Amino acid sequence: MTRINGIRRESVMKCSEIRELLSLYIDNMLDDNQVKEVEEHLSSCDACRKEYNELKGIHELLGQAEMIPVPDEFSFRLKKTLSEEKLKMIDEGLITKQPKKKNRWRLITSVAAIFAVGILSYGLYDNVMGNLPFPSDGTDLAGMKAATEETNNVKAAGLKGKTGESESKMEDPGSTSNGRVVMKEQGTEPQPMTTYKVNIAAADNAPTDSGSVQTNDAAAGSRQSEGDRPAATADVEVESIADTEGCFEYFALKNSMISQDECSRSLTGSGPERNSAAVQYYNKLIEEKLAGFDYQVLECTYAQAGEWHFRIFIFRGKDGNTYNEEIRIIGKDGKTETICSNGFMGL
Amino acid sequence: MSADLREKQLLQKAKMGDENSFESLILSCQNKAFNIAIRYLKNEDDAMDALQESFIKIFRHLSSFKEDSRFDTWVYRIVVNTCNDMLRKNSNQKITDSIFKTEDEKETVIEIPDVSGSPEEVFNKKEKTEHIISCLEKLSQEQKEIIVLRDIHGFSYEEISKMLDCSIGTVKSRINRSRLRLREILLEQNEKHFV
Repeated sequence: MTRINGIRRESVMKCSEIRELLSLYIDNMLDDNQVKEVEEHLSSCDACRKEYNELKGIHELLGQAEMIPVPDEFSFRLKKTLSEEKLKMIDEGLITKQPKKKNRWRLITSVAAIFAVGILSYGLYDNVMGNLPFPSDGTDLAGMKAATEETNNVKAAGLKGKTGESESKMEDPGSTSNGRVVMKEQGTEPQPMTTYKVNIAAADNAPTDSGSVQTNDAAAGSRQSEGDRPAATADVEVESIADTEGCFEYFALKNSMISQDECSRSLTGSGPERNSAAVQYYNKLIEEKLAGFDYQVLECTYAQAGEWHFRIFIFRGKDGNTYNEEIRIIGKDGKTETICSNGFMGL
Repeated sequence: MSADLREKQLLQKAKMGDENSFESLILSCQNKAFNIAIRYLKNEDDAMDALQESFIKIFRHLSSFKEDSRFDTWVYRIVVNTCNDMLRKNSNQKITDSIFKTEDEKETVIEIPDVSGSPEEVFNKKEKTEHIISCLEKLSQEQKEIIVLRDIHGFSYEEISKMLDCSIGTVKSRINRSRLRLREILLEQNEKHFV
């Protein structure tokens, strides 16, 4: 064992070897034998131990560097650029336009759209246009109910004129938790399968935990005489479904509108058609989750496999800070999942 | 539904050109990607440009993503490459305010943090961190890059090797060399201040 500058040669060599291992040691990238060797050396070598401590300190401090949030305007900017890029890609043949929905869906949605125009126009007047029927501040929906009821009355009156046989009447809104338009043929017995168009549903119409939807046994329904009328016009289509509560139309900014008869079928089906009650249910969860936030639901779309995607714009958080960011909440299987890139919102 | 399954579904839709699905897909890695870009480019405007350019590239080339690896690692790799491209193009970098600049424009000097409790801790942790980050600018681009990815963002060695398209052995030696060099720079600064 030779000595160089008073230091044993073996230690000098070992220090240079250890030095090469220090970063790996800090990052837990050494095997057990190497760890033991490093630790033994550090326990006896002041210089290497000092160097190790300094490197570790630098590593730890850098790990605490603050993350800077993405500026608010980025998402709008990206959205615009993505749309432009998509058009370019369609022109270049890299992607095709979105496949058209099945004819059945197109017919139903377009027909439902016509029917919804009347509601929307009244809703616009009452400043509810474009919003899902669950205001963020949780105010009573009476005003919206009244708007819808009046529209239903107009429709009912129109319908009466068309059928020539049936008469429509508005149920007393106070008799149910929703306002309901009941299309009734005078003198007919309530039929088990009737289509309803109801007001914005109350919060107690959440689906049961078995997945089935609450049904209302009250024989308030009746069947319209003509069954071929499209649901989206002033006429109400005859549908053979169970009398149920909780069926409603919801409004979306894009083409995700579900027609009344789709909505109605959903309440008795067990498959993806259970849309209306599900949306209502998830809206309630969203309201609870975002209590204290200033937000607006931009869109609600139905994805495959029973998922509901809600695009929500957060103006302010419950901490009072302004965010102006979009988040997504996905509803599935009775639960919600929030996708939010900003960790400061507390979501 | 598991996060992986949802990611797969969003990916399928995004590959067909659905922008909304794409936005959902990138939402979870957007913040980290932005911060990687900022560390490379040193200002928010350039970082946003890099991020936008990266996301457009990703959107356009989504079909080439092999789903046998992690999507976010792929995203970060593209962001790193885009940032490096921008740095190469802008070799005459415009002078902009660095987000790391101190208020009084003087270079703050602090002692290298010593966990053994050596004396004179002049500034608080945050300022120390910012100072160390500012010293990254004195490293070579390659050294700075590896420190940013490993020490600031906490990517694993394997992730870094995929992002930089190099072997894990290369990552190991680069990390070690870069940290040692950074330590030397900090020591030099301390000496300048106290001599």
